[in-house]
Amino acid sequence: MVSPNVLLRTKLHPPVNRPQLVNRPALHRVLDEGLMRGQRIFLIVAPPGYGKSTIAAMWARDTATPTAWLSLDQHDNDPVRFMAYLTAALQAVHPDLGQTLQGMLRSPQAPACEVLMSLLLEELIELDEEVMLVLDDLHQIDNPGILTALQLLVDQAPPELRLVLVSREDPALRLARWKARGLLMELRLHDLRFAKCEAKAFLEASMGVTLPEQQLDALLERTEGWAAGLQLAALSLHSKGSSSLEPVTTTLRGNTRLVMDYLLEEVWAQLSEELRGFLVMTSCLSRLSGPLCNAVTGRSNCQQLLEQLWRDNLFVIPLDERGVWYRYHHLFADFLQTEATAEQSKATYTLAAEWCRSAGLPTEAITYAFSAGDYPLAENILTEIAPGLLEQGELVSLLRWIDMLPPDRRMRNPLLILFAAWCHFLTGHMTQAGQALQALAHCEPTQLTPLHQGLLKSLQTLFDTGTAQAIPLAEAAVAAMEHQPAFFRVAALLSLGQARAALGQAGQASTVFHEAYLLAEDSGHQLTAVTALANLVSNLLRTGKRLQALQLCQTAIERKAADPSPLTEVVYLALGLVHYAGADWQAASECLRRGVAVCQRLSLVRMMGPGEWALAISLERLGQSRQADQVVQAADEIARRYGLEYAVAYFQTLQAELRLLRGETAFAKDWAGLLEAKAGRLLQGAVNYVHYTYFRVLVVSGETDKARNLLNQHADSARKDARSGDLANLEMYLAWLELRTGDKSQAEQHLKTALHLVQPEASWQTMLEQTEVLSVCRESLQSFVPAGSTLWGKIGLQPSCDVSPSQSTAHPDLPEQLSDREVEILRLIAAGHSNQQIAEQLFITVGTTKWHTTNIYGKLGVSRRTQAVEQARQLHIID
Amino acid sequence: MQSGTYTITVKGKIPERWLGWFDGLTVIYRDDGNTDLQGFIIDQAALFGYLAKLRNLALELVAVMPVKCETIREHGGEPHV
Repeated sequence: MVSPNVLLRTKLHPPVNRPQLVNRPALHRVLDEGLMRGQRIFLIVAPPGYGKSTIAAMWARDTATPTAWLSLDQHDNDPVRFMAYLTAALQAVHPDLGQTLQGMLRSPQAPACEVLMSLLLEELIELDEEVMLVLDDLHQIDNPGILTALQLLVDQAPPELRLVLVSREDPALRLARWKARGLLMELRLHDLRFAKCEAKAFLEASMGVTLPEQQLDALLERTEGWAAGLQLAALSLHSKGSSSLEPVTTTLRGNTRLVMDYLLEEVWAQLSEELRGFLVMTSCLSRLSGPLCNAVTGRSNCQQLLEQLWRDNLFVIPLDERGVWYRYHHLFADFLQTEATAEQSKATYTLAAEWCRSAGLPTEAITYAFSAGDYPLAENILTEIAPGLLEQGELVSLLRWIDMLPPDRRMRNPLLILFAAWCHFLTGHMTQAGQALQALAHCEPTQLTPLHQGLLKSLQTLFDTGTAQAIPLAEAAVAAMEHQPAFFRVAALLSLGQARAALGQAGQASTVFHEAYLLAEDSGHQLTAVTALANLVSNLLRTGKRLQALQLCQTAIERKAADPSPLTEVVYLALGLVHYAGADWQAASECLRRGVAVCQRLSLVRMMGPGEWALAISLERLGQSRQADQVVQAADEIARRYGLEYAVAYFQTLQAELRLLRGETAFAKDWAGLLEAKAGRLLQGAVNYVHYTYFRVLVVSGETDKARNLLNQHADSARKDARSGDLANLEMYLAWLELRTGDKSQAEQHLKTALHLVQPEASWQTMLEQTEVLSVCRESLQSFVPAGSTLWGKIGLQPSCDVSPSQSTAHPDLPEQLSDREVEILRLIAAGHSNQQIAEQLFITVGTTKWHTTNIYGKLGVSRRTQAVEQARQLHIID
Repeated sequence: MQSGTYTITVKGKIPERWLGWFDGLTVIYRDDGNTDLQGFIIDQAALFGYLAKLRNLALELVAVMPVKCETIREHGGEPHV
């Protein structure tokens, strides 16, 4: 596969200034003084030819501050590409910078440009050394995402960062705040004009020309102090060997362009035929090297010609220190191009495209092919580099190039339709992706290589996830990808894993996600690796393999201990889910907080759902209801902001769940109706969090037959798929349901089955979901669970206590009955004990006590201790 | 914006070698020494495209004006193709 993964080093190099180029001490002084005054942002704006880059490069050369340089061009309007270059530019001066971005740059799932920029900013803030960053030709950037990220850079730039923005027009950034605080320096056309003494020195130093005073004045007036104009004037004088600028100083009026053209023509006329031919043929190349020019002109001495141009000061600018790459000054290149015929340019573009293609410079190759109007060539190159662009996440470029092809051409090419479909899918444009897939249904599969087959089937799988046909499709994708690069194999494996997981085949899904995880880790696709790990852990938990999941997370964290990437933090999301399953609410909430925070930071919004759910419930269990509500609120806001409709329904369900836990059944009952209507999709497929809330509502509402039917159906499929984690949950819900219907012995059967499933892995969350079952069936629990089991600590019961079977009598006024333990705690509250005292007395933690009291409040419909006692007395629950 | 006819006035005379950059616009050398580029501009993107070309040529922009149909070519000076 052709890799587009070539960062052009010349873009990270300031243009090499001529040694004899005149220093502009006045401008230097202005800049230095600005720096002394604490100015941090330096905006250099003027039309071409005013020496903007030159002054920036000189300042960079003369300063002691390490300088990162980035010359921008039109191709940098791809956010992923832009961030890759920006990071590379900064790494050239501080190799440690950009470490937190590793594994996230150049990936199709790369977080938004703004997110990456904020990570980079955090590193810059940490850096206690000064660094200067020059963004040259910033006018080339018009991508809104990049501009937003640049605004962030400008707004939050730490004092150590000196930002130099070089542009032909004022950048589309809000700089007023900096200006108002006096922290912005502007060098504009007026400032960049050559003063008389500078012009004099310039002419003498660069060309050895001394002009009479009068002529110098006239020249400055006509050229308006324009650097390029002066340089041309000097060249013109130099080449003619005379010291007269007669027409320039006397007759030429109007605009500086006219002077410029006159001078260019003068210089042009003095050049040898050979040189002129060379210049015209190469004028449309964005970068020049000896070999490229040889290929384009059919000559063999182009390296020497380039060096000669450099020596003669003929508007070539070296792009590196080794004299490999050059470019023409933009104004000169424009002039040269007006000398070239359309045929000449076309021929040059085509030859340059071929040369760049074979030299491994596909981005330039494709640009030249388009410029030549050579669509077959452009299409060929694009087809070659499309997989690489997809892998590197340069989706914006890929789509743009596809769109640049004539419609009949791009719509006949199944490969390009396929890549367009992937780009649309990855950028969240599902309708367009679906349309592209449909268009593909009509093309000949024989035209597709295994890689393309794999990509097609993976994408089809993603659209069909949740249906039976998704699995054979995904398997075919995995098979097709067998000998393809790791990235594509991982992509196919992830599709297969998701297809299996959606159908409840959690065990097989785990195997697939595990393979994807290892492969992604090995090949350095870190973002994909953590996605695979999170999926792996969820599926292991569904199959009851909590300890294996725990082991995996711990190993992952240990391995990444030295890695500063925030992606490491994502592992805590998975670890939090493991602790949650173990009913270790404290550890779960700590891990989940970290995991959710990093997902928010990286805008990995699609990964967060289960983590937010488990976090809210853990906090609720710890008695921190207010924090639980805050989590839900934040999650809901994010889901709405990103327009994730399913997630909005998901978090509304979570709200219902929390209310149910607090005994507020009315809200949840209302929700059940909505759930069936609005979130019907969430209730499809294998059992998940949303189902459990739904079951709970059904039971509380007395729809026991419906609940039993559903629970049994889900239990059957869980048994069939060996999802013992899910099965245990379902058994506990069944136990609760039977208890509610008064069938205690049936309830105990379910309890026993569940216990049998969760005991070996200590997945106690399953048990603690049903506190009512635990307290009513305490006696049988004692016979099932050994005295040393950690479960006793979790539920705050001491097995050795002489506990009598449930003494509580049912209170018909309460929607949900109080457990014995709750009654016990109520009595202690009534006796005036604090939570701390109750905890000590009952050998439970304060957290558990709070959890119980919250449950008591919920069931009694009160919000304070005194109210609870009063209510309980009125209902004769306590004396 | 609606598409329509515009006059873009540039300071001084645009040398003929650059007129190829403004294909589709009529070039009028005005009596006051400035140059008008006039023609149908399909949308804002096209308008900004022309303005960027002027910027890149280091030409000085004097004015951009929408034109009512009847006033086209009523300026002084001869239209240049």
